[in-house]
Amino acid sequence: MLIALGVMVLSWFLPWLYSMVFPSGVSDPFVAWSPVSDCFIVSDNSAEGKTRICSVDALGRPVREYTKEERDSLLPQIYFNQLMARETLPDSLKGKEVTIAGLKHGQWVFSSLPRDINRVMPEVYLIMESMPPRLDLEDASEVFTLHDRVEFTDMATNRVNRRRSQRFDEVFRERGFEYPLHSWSANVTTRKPRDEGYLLVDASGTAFHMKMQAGRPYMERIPGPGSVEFDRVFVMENPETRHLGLMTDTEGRMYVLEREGYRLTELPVGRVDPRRERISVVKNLFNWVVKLSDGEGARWYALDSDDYSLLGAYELSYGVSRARRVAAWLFPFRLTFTDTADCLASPRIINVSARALYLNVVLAAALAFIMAGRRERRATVASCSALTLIFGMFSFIPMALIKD
Amino acid sequence: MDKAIIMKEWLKTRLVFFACLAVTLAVGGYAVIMMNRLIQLKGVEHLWLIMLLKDNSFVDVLKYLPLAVGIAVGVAQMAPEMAQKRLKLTLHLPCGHGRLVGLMLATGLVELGAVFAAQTAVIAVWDFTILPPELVGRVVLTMLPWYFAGFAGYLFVSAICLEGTRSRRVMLGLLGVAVAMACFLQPAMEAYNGMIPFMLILTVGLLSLSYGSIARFREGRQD
Repeated sequence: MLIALGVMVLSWFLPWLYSMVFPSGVSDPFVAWSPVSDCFIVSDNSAEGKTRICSVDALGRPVREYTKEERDSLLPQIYFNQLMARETLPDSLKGKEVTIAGLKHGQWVFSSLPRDINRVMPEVYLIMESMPPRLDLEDASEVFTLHDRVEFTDMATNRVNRRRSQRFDEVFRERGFEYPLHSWSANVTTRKPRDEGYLLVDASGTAFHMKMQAGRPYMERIPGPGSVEFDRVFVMENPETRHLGLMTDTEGRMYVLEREGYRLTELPVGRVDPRRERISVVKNLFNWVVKLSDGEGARWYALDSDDYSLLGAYELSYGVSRARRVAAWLFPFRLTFTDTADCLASPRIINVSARALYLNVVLAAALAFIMAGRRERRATVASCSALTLIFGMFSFIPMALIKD
Repeated sequence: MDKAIIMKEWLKTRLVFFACLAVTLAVGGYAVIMMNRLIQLKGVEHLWLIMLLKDNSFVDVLKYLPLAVGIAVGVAQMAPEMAQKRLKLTLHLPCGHGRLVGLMLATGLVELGAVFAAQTAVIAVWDFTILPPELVGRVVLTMLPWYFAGFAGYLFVSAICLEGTRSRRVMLGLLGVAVAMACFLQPAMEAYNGMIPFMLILTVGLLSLSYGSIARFREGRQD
């Protein structure tokens, strides 16, 4: 037991200590699509603290370097304050009138992190009133549960609101909602311009839009293209009312959902896995820049803001740091209980490396020598050396220290 | 004989047991009073909102208490055995050594279980008056790894106290710190749900440490 515990603790602690002593991290450049030059403008901070600004071609190669002033002119949708101060803001661009108010109204930012999805969520859902009597949104006063029926509970009394539960349950049945709930999204806060309630995905992968209006249920089935099974949904409540949310299906396709007629359009951004990838969307009057990133790299897609057609794509691979390459020679694997991509604790083995076998062989031979010096039985020496071939220094250290 | 051994263990630990029970109930009561204060000031809806939107269980104040209780009970039960050289006499009792160690550990674990169950009951019973079962279950599941840390702390302290050599004590101590740390890595609510079977197996495995220490003591491995 002591040896097993030693192996467990060392395989967790030593690689962690190594990563603390030799940290390896990358920072993504700032990437935006220029509606002036129709190309990506990449702003990257170098190790010397200087900002390198350049445009990149379709293959991601730098084409031309720019000064900050030139970049401001190429990205008027972002640096309009600087252009305004220099009185160089264009009147129109791409056939659209350019005004500060128009630029501000037409922009929003969306982001989704894997750790917001990979966590144990409470199976109690807050619901706001979407049509409050005094217009201003108010804090939720009721919650609902979706076990095998809809049940509303009043938070003040902790008692079931039977009338409302029955009303909503009837609507859920009429719309064909299949239990259990697969995924959901809502922004329960009063700091938003309006409330769109919930986007829900049921057990069959069908998506629904549900909200409470004047205490009554509003629920619509979202028509998916063909036999698409939805996976994740993200409701959006931006000042610009055109978009209701983003959705992904079980095949990894990403869609944008428009409020008007629940029109669904697939976004040309490749396969997306919200459980693994960070998703960010920066939308402005002219384009969307969708960024998808994980531990291995990042990819950016520029889409036309009107018809969502692909304008350009840019990809960046992080590569493997020198510290990580050295670690692969030292440690046969790494035990970890947490991950930055989730809010869960569980034992998991990562960074399995066959390269550490060379060191393991040396350590196994050293251990056999040490144990032979202690006059241990041959069978014990053989089994301990065999374990060190697999676990390397994680088993070598406790076995060399524990003499009996 | 079994009853006599259990009585011997009870006599050693009863003061610490009642002190731990009083402290845990007091801190559990403090958590309830703090929640009640928030309800008085801002209403029960505010407590629900914080719990659901901010992932706050309102019982964080209890976090390290089970670990401290486990260590206290372990020290109270096992330290006198070594400090006053009673262990040699204990091992001469007409009872199998395995059974003897088992009864000693069982007494301590039952006492810890009683303290932790009492604290959970205080929190859960009060929570049930203001929260739905889903949220009460969420709070209790969030507290579960802290209680595992308490049991692990007790088992490590028992093994350290019964161990005769300094080097092995240091090793057990370092391993104990690492196992206890693993119970507090992820602060999110219900983060340890998937790890509960692993923690159960680990706790059962940690029982063997005290058996190992006793076996080494009988072989005369002492500093």
